[in-house]
Amino acid sequence: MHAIATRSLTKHFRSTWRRRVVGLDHLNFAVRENEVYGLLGPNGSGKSTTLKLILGLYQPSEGEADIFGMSVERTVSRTSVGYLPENPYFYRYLTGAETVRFFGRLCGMRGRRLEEKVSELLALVGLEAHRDRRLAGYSKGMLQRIGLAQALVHEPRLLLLDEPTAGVDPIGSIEIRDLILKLRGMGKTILLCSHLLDQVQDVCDRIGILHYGKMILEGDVKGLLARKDQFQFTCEGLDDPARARVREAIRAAGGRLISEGNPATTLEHLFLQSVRSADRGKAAPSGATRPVDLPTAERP
Amino acid sequence: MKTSTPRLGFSFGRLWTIGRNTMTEVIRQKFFYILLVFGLVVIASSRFFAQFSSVEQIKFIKDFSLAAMTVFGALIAMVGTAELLPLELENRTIYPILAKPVHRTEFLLGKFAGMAMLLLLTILLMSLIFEGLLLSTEHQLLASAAASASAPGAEVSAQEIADQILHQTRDPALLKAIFLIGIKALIVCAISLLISTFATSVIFNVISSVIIYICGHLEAGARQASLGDQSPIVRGLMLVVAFFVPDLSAFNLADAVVLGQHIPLRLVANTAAYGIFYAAIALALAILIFQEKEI
Repeated sequence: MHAIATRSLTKHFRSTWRRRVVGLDHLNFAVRENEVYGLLGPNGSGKSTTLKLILGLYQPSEGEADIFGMSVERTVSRTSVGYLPENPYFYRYLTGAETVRFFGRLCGMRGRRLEEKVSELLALVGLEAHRDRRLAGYSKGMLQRIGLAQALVHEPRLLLLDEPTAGVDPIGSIEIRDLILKLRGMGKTILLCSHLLDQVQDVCDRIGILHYGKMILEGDVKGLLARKDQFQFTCEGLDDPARARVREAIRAAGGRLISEGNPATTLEHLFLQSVRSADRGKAAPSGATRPVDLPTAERP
Repeated sequence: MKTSTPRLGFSFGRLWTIGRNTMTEVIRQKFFYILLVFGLVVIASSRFFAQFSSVEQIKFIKDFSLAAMTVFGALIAMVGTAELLPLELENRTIYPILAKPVHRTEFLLGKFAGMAMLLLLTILLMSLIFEGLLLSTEHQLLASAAASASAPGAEVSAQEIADQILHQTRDPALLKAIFLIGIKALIVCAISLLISTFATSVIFNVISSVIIYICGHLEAGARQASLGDQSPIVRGLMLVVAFFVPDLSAFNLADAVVLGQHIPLRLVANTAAYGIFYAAIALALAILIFQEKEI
């Protein structure tokens, strides 16, 4: 059974002068259980519309969608879903713990079970120290993390994350990405909408690209990105004569050397390394090398 | 393959959770404090305006205070309710709520319940100030009446004056009047919630509510005046207005209370039932519209 399945899911909107605008055009896609699926696309491509249709916040103009085999038109289907909206704004007058408690109560949780869940989730998202602080004083990264906590409160099997790192600084963004990886490790199915392609590449098993409400590309991330006609070595400890011998060996074997040089790190890794070094009271590194403790995002 | 889906029944627990949160939300809004404090000050100040004889002074306090409770109850209901849904949509706080297993009916009724609890609390608070004011005035007037009646040449006995004062201050009709003020505020709240399900702005909602409120008060008089009118258009128009707009003047018992008239319990019960009926219709329409609303 699929976690999400849509069949010809279509949404029309009415604009000024009653002109019909297609928000989503006969979308057919499925998210398998225990996978992280990245829904990509430029602004206005239909990502958020898809999520709202799956959550029953919009009525489809045509087609249908299921969550674990239940029609999304039934409110009960949402017992299996946790949702983190784009730029989530929760009640600013509630504290972190009160927010998670409020959503837990909405899901029918009460008493000690709820209190234990609140503490467990605040620890999971790293907000235990801020549990009694009002959300009005939370940063964007903290709001995203409390958003994740409320999305998880009723132990859903499926998580819908709409731009979970929108407006968050690089460190907060990395923390949220690590959290998503942790949730995948816990067996959750995740549908992630984002236009931050590096992030999607790091965490997703499969992706689909939406454009003007249509799915224009879908598949396994590694499969889609791999250049099967090329091969890349990254090595160290070679001096100039040794490099010349490698070039010669490639030519002798009938290959063609396409590029060579020092591999570049990503700006994200350089930023993180600099900030962490400064935090430790050390000078920022001058060399552009990728830290070994961070997940790599190799490029072809 | 579709699995058989269990039903998710209506839950008063979820309604209560949303209601309690709504109450907290409105209480923390500045306008609520401004209106509440202003209402309490107006009621309290009525005492200092009175420069009449003892019984007249109490009548004045009653009239002024009941009017203040009516106006401020309606204002809080209109302004507070008008903001409830637009704020949820504007701040996107509604999305994570409706993404949970929560029926839209529970959400909307929860919002109404929160506002209704707040209105009842507000009216209770204003009633306590009003009652405190009445009792302290009664105490002072009784003391001065006793002093003036014991003076030589007094025409009225102290007991007679005391009876007149107590008849005004310990009048059970006051409770009936306050009860109907509460019901009227609930109707205004339900109508404002209905308008907010389709209104595009808070201002539009407040203005529409004010117009309906005014029409509701003028309706009975206009209907009376149109009885003698031969024009079918005028009579038809009055019929339409009477159907869609509740007769809010029926909830005003202040004049009867001030004049010391007897108010039958049956009249109060019937008027309350009439008000609850209108509020229920407004809420049912609000639910119907909100079910189909794309948020």
